[in-house]
Amino acid sequence: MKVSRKPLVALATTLALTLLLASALLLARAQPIPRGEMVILGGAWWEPPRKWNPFNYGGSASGTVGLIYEPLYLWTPIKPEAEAWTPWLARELPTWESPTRVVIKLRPEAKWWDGKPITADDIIFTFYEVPRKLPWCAWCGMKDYIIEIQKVDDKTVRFIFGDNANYANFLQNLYSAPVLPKHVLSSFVDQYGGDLVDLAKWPVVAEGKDPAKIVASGMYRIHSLADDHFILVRVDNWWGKDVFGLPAPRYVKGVVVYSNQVAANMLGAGELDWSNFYIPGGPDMVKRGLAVAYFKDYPFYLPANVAYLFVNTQKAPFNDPNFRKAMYFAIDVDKIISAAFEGVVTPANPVGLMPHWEKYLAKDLIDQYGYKYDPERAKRILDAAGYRDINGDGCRELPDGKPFRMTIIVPYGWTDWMFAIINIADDLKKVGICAEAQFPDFGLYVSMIDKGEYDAAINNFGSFATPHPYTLYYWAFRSEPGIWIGNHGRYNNPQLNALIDQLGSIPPLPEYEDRIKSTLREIQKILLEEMPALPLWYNGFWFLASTKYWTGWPSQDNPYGVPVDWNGQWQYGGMTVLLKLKPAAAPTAPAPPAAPTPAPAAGYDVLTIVAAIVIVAAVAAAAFFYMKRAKKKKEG
Amino acid sequence: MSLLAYLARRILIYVLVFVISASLVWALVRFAPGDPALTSFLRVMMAPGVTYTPEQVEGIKRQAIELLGLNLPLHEQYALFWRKMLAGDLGYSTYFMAPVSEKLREYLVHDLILIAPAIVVSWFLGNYIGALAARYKSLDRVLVPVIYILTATPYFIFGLVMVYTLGVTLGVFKPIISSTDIKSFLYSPSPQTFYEFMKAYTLPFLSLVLVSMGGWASGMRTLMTYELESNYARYMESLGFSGRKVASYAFRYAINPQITGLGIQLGTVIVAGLALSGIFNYPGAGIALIYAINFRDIFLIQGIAIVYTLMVIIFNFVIDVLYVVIDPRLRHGMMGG
Repeated sequence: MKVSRKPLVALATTLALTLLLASALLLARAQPIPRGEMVILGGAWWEPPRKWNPFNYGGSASGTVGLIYEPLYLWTPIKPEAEAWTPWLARELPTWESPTRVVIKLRPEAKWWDGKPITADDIIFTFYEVPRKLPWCAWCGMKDYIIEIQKVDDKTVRFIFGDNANYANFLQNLYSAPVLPKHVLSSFVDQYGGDLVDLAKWPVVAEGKDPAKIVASGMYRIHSLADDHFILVRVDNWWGKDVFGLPAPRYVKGVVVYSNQVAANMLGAGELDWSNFYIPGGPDMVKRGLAVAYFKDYPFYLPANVAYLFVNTQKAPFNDPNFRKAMYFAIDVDKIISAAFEGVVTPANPVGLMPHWEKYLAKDLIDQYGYKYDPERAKRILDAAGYRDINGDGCRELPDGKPFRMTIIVPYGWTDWMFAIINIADDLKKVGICAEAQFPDFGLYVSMIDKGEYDAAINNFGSFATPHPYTLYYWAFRSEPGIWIGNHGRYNNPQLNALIDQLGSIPPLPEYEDRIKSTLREIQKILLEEMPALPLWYNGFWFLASTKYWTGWPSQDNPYGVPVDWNGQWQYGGMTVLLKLKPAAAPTAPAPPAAPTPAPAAGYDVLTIVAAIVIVAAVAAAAFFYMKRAKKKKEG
Repeated sequence: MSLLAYLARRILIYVLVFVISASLVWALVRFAPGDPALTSFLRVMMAPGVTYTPEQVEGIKRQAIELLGLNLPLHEQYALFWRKMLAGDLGYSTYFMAPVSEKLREYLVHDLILIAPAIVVSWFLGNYIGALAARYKSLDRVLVPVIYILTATPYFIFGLVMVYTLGVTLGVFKPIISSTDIKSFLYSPSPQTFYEFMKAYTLPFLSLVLVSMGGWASGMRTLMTYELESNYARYMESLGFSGRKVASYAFRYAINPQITGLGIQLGTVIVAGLALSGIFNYPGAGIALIYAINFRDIFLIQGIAIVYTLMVIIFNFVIDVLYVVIDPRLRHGMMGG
């Protein structure tokens, strides 16, 4: 019985059957989307992109506001202040009649996908009615200070604020809040109320919760959704085509990728065009020509937000400003930047004001305090404040003699931050503060900070660039402590609080510029004196792009916008990127849907595979015949 | 002991194994640090500038706790867990926003598409190559280093090397395999979709097959060499039987441990599949498990662990039965000779 042949026979039969089955199943011809008409994005989606709910866009897929629903304005922090605001649905910059009355006009061309014009009624619905009818939504805080929105005419509204106007919130919502169609959504709001923000109940707010039935105004609408990607298709009669032109990519595909390494592979292979992943080795990819970044050289990436080292000021010794200041002197930020970040981020100033707020920086005060890396000074401060190493174990004790150890936390898997806090812990140890870096996983990290059960942590959730510095300082020091709210250090300084409140009440108008400057100066005085949290570096807008299929990406030579596809940040320039992209090669003639990817590449692939199979088969046959001959020789 | 009694005892043991492992999974998931309600809140809202009052945060947390059933006392949760599972309801996945059973069915198919052919091909090929190496000393010299390198390499390193060389640098195959590649081939098969599918499927498949093959080949080689040196083999040779004849008898003995090994190997291959899931962004249980853990999606974590444990148990039971069928010594031993 030829048992040794049985496995081979079985294998051969299985293969043959499978091939037969496959060919027998030849049904419809597939219609793949031509790669040259599609731009593939990544770095902003971490779960199945099924949620496209404008009321709760923070929990929905990135692109809900920006690509599908649109805001009144774009705000680009890298442009000079006079050019930062780009009217989008609005026709021009807002006209401030007084600090509490502002007029906004809509573009005459602006219309919804169903052809109806975008009118003042839609603005009143979005900004006045919705915040009052829903228990909460992403912009519903506006109801606290908007008394009324008057309809001046079909395309013009006048916002009327109360005395407690929150200008930072207003400015932020001018570019963040999606303008909603009253004629479609007001019945939903009346009928379902607060349920509309529950993403489990309303992943999509449309008839029958069907993504195809969404009525919005944006450049793209949903084409298809899957667990690991989504595809949007261009709205060819988009209202903006007469104002901005149509975006060149006909399809936008967003991919859900689990690991940064996989993303790097995809970028290198041309499977990803626009990456906002943090890709370790990004600079190498740029230097080797596999990708382009915003800058041609270090730091490669634009600054995005401030990474603070928060300390729990309700625990000793973090409640002692001297201890905190000593920590600042002990940390070598430049080493972190080169070791943990490969040099792609820049150090922050001691007050955490990002580059676009440079004019508010109290440079003289900062020089006075002389904050920099100076471990000797750190040691002197600690000695003077009573933290000495009495028992000689290398770790300083608290002034009352109790031993002291501290831990620093960042989420597990955020490798750049993980290396950063390892360096920080080392630096602190060098001056006698015994610190240990720990990496709880994200859920635990979040809950530890939320409950205040931690010593020190790096966080930047609320420090993105905004038009008004109040947003930053409110998040950093003023708010009620909460992981999604701010004030992780649980800092409570009545003087600082009063100043921050004062800052928020100053209208963002030219005549109040000096008041803003002076208030910020007072705030900086306190921050420099108390150092309630340590602003260490600016995390970057991790942007890398492949020029294999698309060119026209923003760069230092062409700084027209911030190329970021993160949720809530399309308005920094991502939308403009889509308008400015051009296909890399000359576009192929309108190919029939079933055409494969550019012919030469396909030919090469097929050849390689066929060649490989032939070679393997040849080698196998040769080996088989060689063995047969050898056996015959043995027996013969 | 009769055949039936033997099988009954095996079944009992497997049921016990299943109950214990399912309970362990249930307990581990519940008592892990971190707050599922808060993390599910994370997924509900997180965007720059969006601020909430503490009351709003509490409200969402409460909603999440109710949805996850965490407000019931522990023993009730445990009883509910078994009741639901036996009815086929594995709970609701907050990550996928869909029932777990439905999603797992889909992902199980994806995994089986990768694992099943990989196991079959690697087992057959590996054993054949191992047997060849044992028979022909000249071939042995070439194959041994290859086999040992293959079997010693961890799956994920092999996967990474394949991705980098063939996927990125040479660009012959695709560095990732996505759900579109699989779905478009399954639902609208054509030479085009098959081509795309193979471009994406080859690398993960090769990573699994080549490394597993190394394992089978090295095992088979050792076993065959041992059998070929045994008394009956030498006797056959002295009687003048051809080398092929001797080898075919030796093969039948040598294959037995490999069949048992197959049951054990399934566990290894599943774990390898999980690792490769990450490298290739493959829409299988591996990646789903990673997301589930990050998002504290307890029903999904439970579901995956339980379903895959069950899969390994069933497979091992099938191997047990198969073993009795193909090895007459066992059968006779059981029937009492």
